[in-house]
Amino acid sequence: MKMDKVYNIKYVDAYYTDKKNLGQTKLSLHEAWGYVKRNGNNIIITFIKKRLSNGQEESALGLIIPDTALISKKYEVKNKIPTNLKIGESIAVTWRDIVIFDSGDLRNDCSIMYTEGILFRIEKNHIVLKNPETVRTYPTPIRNHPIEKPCYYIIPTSFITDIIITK
Amino acid sequence: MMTAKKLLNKNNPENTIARVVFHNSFNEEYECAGVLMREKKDLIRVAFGAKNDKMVDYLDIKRSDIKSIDIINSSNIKRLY
Repeated sequence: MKMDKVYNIKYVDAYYTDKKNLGQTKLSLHEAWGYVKRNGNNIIITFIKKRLSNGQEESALGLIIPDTALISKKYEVKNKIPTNLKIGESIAVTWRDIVIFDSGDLRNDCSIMYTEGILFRIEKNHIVLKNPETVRTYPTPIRNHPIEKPCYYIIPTSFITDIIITK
Repeated sequence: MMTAKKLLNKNNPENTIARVVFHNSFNEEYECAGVLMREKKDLIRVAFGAKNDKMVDYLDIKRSDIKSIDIINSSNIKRLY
């Protein structure tokens, strides 16, 4: 598929921190420019594309974001946070993460992450987990992300596909 | 090889969005589009990503590797947000 139009997208992202004293949390505004195509509920933005000798082209560097990451009313999603959750509870969150790819590791969909931790804070557009342990469950190989456990993980609510109470 | 003609107007409050076609040392051809951030005699810098209005992802391209640069009118940029 030809990608000719240049797009400007604005989106949010998850992040983690090793700060012991967390303070206020908020989601940063991310912005990207490039060529866009969709794959289901994934948005693929290509920064650099390679022009092939047969007239085709392929992505050489880019980003894949869940469509729910877009800062847009159009993509506003139903909140997946159960109303009975309490601060301090042990929970497990399944969520879709943003992926950076290059020609050596081409991807066309987001990673799926599973984070266990203590529910520390619920904000309008994100939740905070304390002492989180995060595993990337898709694609394989399954691995910890990050490898060392951070103090807190801040996850946009729009990324979340499931939450369960574990204890 | 492109001449070092200045395309970036630093008095313009809008970002200058450029489409750049260039090649690598194997003569493979690439294309990118992004914010033209810097123009020097021997290279340009094109940014793809920003966080809280600060550019964080960019590519420096040698002038000698550039085949073409086109400035894209902001009305031709699609917005997805």
